Amino acid sequence: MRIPLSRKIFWVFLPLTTISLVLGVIVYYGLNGIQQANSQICKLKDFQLQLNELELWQTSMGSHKNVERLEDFKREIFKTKQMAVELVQLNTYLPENLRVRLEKIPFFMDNFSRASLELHNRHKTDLHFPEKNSALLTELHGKCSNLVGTVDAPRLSALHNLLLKLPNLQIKIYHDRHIAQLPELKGIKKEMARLVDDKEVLTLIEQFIVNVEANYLNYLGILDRQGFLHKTSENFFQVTTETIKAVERRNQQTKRLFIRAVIAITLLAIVVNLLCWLYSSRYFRLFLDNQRHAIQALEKSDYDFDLPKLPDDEIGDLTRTMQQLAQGVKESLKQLSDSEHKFRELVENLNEWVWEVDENGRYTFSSPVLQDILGYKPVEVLGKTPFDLMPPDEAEHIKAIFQEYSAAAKPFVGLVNVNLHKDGHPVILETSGQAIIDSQGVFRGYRGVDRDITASEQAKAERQKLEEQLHQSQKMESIGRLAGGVAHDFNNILSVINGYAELCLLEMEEGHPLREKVDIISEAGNRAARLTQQLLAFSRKQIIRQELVDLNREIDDTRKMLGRLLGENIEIEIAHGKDLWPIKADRSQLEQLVLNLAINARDAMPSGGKLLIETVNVVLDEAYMQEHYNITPGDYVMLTISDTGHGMNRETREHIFEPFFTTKENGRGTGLGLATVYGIVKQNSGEIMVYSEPDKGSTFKIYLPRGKEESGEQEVVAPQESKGLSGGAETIMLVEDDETVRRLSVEILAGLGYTVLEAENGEDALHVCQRYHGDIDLLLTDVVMPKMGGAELAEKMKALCPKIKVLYMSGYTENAIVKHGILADGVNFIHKPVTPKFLAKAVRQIFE
Amino acid sequence: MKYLFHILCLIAVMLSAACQKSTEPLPVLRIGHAPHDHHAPLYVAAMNPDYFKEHGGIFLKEIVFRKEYTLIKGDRPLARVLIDSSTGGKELVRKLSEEYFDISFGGFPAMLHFIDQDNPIKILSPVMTEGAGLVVRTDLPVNSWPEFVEYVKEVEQPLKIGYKIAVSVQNLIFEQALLETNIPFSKKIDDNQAKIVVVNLHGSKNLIPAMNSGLIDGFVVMQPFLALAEDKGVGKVIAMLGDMPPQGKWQGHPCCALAGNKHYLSDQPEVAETLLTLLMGATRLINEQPQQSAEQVGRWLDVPSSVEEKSLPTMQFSTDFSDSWKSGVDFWVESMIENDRITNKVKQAYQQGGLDELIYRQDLYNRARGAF
Repeated sequence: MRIPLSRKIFWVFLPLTTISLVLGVIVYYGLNGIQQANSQICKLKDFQLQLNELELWQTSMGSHKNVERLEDFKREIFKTKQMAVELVQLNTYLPENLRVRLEKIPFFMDNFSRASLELHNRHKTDLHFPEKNSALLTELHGKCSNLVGTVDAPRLSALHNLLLKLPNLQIKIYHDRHIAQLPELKGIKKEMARLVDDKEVLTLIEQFIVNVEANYLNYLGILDRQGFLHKTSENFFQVTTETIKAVERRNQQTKRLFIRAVIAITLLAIVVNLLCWLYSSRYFRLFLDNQRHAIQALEKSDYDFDLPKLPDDEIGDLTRTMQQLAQGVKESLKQLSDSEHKFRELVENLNEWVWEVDENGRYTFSSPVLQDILGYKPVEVLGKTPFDLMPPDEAEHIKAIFQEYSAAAKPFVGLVNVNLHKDGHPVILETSGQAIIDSQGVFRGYRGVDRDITASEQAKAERQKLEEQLHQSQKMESIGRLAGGVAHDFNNILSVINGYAELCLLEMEEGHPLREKVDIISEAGNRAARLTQQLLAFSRKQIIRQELVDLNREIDDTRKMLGRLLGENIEIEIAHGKDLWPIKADRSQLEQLVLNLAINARDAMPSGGKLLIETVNVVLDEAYMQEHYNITPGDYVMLTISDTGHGMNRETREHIFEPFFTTKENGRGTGLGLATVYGIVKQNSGEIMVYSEPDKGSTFKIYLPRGKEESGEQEVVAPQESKGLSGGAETIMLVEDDETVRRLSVEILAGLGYTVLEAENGEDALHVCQRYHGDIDLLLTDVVMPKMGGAELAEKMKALCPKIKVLYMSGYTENAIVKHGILADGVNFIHKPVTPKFLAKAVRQIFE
Repeated sequence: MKYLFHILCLIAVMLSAACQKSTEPLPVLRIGHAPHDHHAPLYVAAMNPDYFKEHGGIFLKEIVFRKEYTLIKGDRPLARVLIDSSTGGKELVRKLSEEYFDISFGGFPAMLHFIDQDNPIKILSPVMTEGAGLVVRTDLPVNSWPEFVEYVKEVEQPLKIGYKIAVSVQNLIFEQALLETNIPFSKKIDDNQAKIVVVNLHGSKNLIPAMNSGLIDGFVVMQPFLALAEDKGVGKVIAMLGDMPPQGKWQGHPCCALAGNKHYLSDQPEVAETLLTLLMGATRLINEQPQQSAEQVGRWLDVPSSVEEKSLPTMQFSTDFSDSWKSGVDFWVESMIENDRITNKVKQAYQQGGLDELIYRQDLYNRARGAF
């Protein structure tokens, strides 16, 4: 049955309250009883005092004065009776016999009263006796005196003598109460009777004696009444004294009982208190034990603890609540543990470093990822500050920022700072922190995360670099495209200029006054043509013919030229790579590349120096590729050309491959040397890098892909320049949209004996071909033409004339026959500007 | 728990100590008597402790001679006995009714009178019968009751006969005898019409001096004053009351009895019973050892043993409710009813037949008798 705690407490306090109430009642009634008893004792003692007063009255009643105060005496008696009646009314416990005796006091007071009045009367009688007998004596004397004459003198004298004895005897009997004198008195009477025979005298003497006897008997009555009153009074005293004693005894018993009751109840209260204490202590000890057990279990993380039988009340509920709470805690802890585990895993697996610092900036917590990021175990940084992990300059900088933020307890986000890895290398962290504010609002430090952004920063730098490279590439591409476009037109123009100049020279005799001028024109045209070639080379629009070459041999081939070019004050050192892989490249371009770099080095070493040329095989992997996005992983031959010149700063490095960028004095450089190098490397699928610091020289590293032997590869023979022009009788279909070039070409070819069919474009050429009835041996066509390109035309022409040979000529490389400036296999090509010599030779080589 | 157990033990001890009943003092037994040999069984009982210790084991151990004793039964003290005296039978009974005494000797008629007035008194046992008589001056020419009657009738002056008290067994018997013999008597000393003037001398001690001084001519009183008067030569016993008329009516008349206060008897029945048993033994001893008893009684009363030797034989000490006692009681009751001295309870009981239950505690008597 469920008993509420309040009811249990009620049952604990009820006996105590009851005991207190009983104690209070007992104390009240005990004190009241004692007070009543004292009051009764006072009444009894007052009664005794009154009895004493009466006794005084009785003893003093023998005087005339008091015997007359009868009314006062009666009042005293009445008062005593009243007090006796009051005694009967005492509301007290007395033994039955004593109570009866006490109750009879009023009744005996009647006797007492009567006896008192009787005593009073006897006293009064006694007091009046002398007076009465004196009168008799006087009368007796008178009578005796009257006997003179009747009685002789001697007898009369004897009679008088006898009379004189009477007062003395009366005094002895009356005052001395000496009844033994009575016979003498009676003897006087007899003597008087002998002396006289007077009846009156004898009657008087007889009366005198009777009075004396009566008075003596009255005296005995007085004594008796006095005795009675004394005894009665004594009895009253005894009764009241016994009553007082009984009351006092009762009072003492009441007091003892009262004290015993108080002691007993007090002891009972103590016992009850102890029992209540025992019960309460056991009860609460059980509760506390349960609580302690529960708490200890909770401390031991034992959430499924068992408890002894619990009381079915609020305390039990509380303990059960502890169990429920434990289950709740267990569940919460499980959730917390899961959460903690989750977040710990999160924190531990987080790539970001989670940390806490106190208000002084000292680490109080560090997630394990620190070891991955900075190489330190978390425990190694506890107590240290973030600034201890930074380079001094960075530490000073970041510390100032930290102090600014911590002073205001402000959060900070994305604070980039450089730290030193345990092994010394820098690590860039992006730090965000939130101020820790305790419950009192006091700043306690920061909690935050550090993100390792080293890679991203590097990637960012790389991306920036690559973007720059891209931008540079795009710029170079644009420049190249521009240069290519210009070169195309330039080549057409130069073809006319150089062609006609050469024709003029061919037709002019030696000593012709215009020959020198035409030579100058021709020379200028050739320089323009080389410049155009450089532009094309830079813009990778130069048409090249790649072949497997040995770079070491190529370098060796250029060494003599380099010696002449660099001069004696520059030492040339060549380090050949062992077992150097062949590369696939255009020889002329390789030569141009080495020469251009050597010239650049020479210009950087005006006071002489050392030029180091190295070759080595390298394998570029993915990592390298990440840094250099435009090169594919693979085997490369690295050509390194280093000088000990004045070097370059960063800005210079960023622009050195731009065309027309030069640091040389005006007129000393075209600004196309390194741009051409760059174009050549790129056109040959390579990569060039420059490392240079001011006053520390420069190093150019050129990666050229390892070349592999391919089947069917044709040896491309460049048109060999010859001293004379040789022609033939073959029929040549010349297709050129540029009229001047077409006219020049017709003039050259026709001048050499060939039958030249000319057409402005492809369609015209096909029409011409279809109308022409003879064999057309060679199709000499521009590549880029309106309506129909050279390649398409060649295909169609081959359909019409299966034996026809094709020779393309073009000043622009981006077309069907050339990809990235590289001629497709089996394609005959002659690039513009076309000179009579080159054209004649090229045509002749095809026929031969 | 151990600590708590000790506390509980301590409390139990304190409780038992607090509730312990203190040793009660011995109950007090106040015995009243008149200083004459009618109450001789008390004196004999008090003065022969060794004898009674050996014979019955109930005795009075003396503490203060004539004043204080301890009533012992076997080895067990039963009561503290206080002995006090008063002038006469009526006073004793009055004090008994007032509970001045718990148990008292006294005159049987006085006891009837007080019981009749609904006083809490119960008669426990007879003590003695007769033992009273008439003493006259030695010079009077009379030696017997008839001579006394003749003399009274002849003399002119009334004879003064003294009483020790206003009302007593002796007074009643004497006055009844006067009435029987048609001798007028009066209580007024100067009544010249009376032949006998009865004078209350307010105490037996006044009797002999009064007669010696000629104040009275004789007196009616119980022993030992009769013997004492004769011993002093002051008077002569001319008649015992049993000899007075009506003839034979006063033979063996109840004189003194032992009575107790009803409340005390209820409160201390064992004490009363034990005392009664002791007094029965004392009565027997008096009768068996009259010489020794006379000596002891004389010593108690401060009278010569010769007086008691004369006095005691004139009395019949007995605790038996004998037929003579019962007839004497009836006579007393009838006489007192006739004289209007009994008008209430006793009268009703006598007339309705429940006198014994009213005046006696026969259960106590029977137990005492059984123990005796």
